Amino acid sequence: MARFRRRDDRKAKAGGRRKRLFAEEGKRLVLTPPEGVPLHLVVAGLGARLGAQIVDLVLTTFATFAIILALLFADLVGEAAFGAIATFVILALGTPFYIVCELLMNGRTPGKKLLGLRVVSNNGSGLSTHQIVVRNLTKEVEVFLPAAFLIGGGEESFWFNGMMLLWLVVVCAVPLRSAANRRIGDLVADTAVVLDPRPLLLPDVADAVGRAARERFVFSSGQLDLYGAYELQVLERLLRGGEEARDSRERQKGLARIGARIRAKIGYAERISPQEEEAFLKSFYVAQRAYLEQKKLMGEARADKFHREETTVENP
Amino acid sequence: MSATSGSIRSTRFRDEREAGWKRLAEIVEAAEKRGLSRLSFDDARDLVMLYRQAVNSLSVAREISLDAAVVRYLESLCARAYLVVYAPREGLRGLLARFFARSAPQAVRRSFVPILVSFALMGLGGLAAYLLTNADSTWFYAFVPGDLAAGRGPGASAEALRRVIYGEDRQPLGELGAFATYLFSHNTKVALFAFALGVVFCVPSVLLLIYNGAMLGTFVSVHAEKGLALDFMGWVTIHGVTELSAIAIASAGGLTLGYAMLFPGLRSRAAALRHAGRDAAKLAVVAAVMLVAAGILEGVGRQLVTDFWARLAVGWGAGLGWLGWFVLAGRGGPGPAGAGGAEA
Repeated sequence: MARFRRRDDRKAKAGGRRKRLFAEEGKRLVLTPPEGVPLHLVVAGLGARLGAQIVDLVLTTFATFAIILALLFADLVGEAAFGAIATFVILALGTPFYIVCELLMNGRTPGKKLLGLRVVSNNGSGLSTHQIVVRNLTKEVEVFLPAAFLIGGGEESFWFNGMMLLWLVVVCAVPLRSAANRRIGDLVADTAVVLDPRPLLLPDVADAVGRAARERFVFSSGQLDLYGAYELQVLERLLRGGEEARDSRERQKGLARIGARIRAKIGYAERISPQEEEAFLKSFYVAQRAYLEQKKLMGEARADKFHREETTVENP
Repeated sequence: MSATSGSIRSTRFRDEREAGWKRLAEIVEAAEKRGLSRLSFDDARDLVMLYRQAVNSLSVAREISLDAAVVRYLESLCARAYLVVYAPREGLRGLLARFFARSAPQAVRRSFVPILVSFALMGLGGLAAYLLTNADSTWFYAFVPGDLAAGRGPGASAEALRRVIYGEDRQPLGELGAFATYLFSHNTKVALFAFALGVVFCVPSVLLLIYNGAMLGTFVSVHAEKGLALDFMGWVTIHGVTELSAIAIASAGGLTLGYAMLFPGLRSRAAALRHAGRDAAKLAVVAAVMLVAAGILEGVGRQLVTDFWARLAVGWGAGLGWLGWFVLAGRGGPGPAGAGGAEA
């Protein structure tokens, strides 16, 4: 069900600049929910996952110590019972803790929640109990055992140490080689860890353009026929870019430069004063977008100014 | 296009639907914070409808809109809502009830053959070790690691062996202490490894099974030499029936995984592994439950029950209980059948 896309610099150069749009997003995972519309999620990096694991480990260790110390000071139980309860606490705050957390918190542990990660089922249906149990059962042998080996420093047996090192290499190699940074447990359970999607709706650039500006600058269809979707979105980012954050004079200069280049390219005869530059670019953006959207509706999608057939930025 | 209504198509598209998206985002936010079950009636009713609408909008926006902001927003919003709408709904209690009443015994019944193979392998190892140690008692040291033998080697006197068996030199920590040490003991690790490493084409599971059987066999041989075979059997039985069954069941899970790797059939190896994992994971959980029970039997039972026949009765009684659970529970189709719920 799932397809993966990995940003590759060489490929991106060969395939045109528009892939740069997704440069900051890294590997992506495509899920198809039962509604049939593919959703694109960003795969969590190995660093973030390691961080979440460490947070969880610190948390459970801290909780274990707290409970044991509380028992010790409360002095309610005898020495023998204390040993038994302590052992039980240590066991319960291992794998069962992760399973219960991911079950109750919908695929998250406290560490994952803190770092904005989340376990999703790869097949587009909801995360099942079985998947959670499997991916955490293997965690014991896949994460804790090598970690204990590294911290503990192994045993005398040459064979044992050799086998552990080999196992360590395998455990590290699988997520590095895997398309979505999946560890062995993820592969067996058919899950993946993704960044929690955060919806943020930016205002529409086209909304901000007044009717007067659009009537002031008029473009012929010949002038609008030169650019494609990629250039449009570069312009959109430019117009959006730091409307209050950046120094306005720097911004004016940048806009003037771009405006001049666009006018040269499309052959726009009129000279524009620096005050009108932004209004010009915005009305060009609106006109260009309306033109391209209409073309797209008629089945003539255009990815960029080289008139490449749009393989669509979302699904290459 | 733009001249007629004052704005372009994709802007109108957005304006018409934006209120719905915002409301969906609010509901999703509330559901994430306070839980799905605490949503108000209206929110719960609208959640799914708005989710479908948002997914629909996303699909349309990808086709008609060149406003990257909208497509991206819808992408995240739909993913977020999807995670809430398709979240696991079952409570912990229902889950446990279902597992113990139905899915666990059914999985054990389906894995009848690998479990039988596990027992056979263990028996094979035991028999071989028994014969070898009978012929030459130094074999004992080859099978049993030093810390596990605890002075019970071929050199030990019958008196010393008897003392261990009938608990005259009680462990200083007492009953619960023994339970605690048990949980981290050798056998728990064996079960875990036999399950997880079975993925490597069954080899580690088979080796561990034979080896585990061999240890039992060599102990029996050493005790039999001193005429204590029956007493040793009583000592082992009280928790051994449960414990060895747990190891066999965990190994059967490992064998299932390894078999899927070796002979994936028409599936790909990954798919075969995933399929085998459905039952194997349940076997592993069953084994974990049994090991905890074995720990209680070893810690409490063995120290309190020192009579030979009583030990035998408790040990095999527990074994029969497990068998009853596996064979009888969860037969009657869906619907909770409480036959084995008390077992755990």
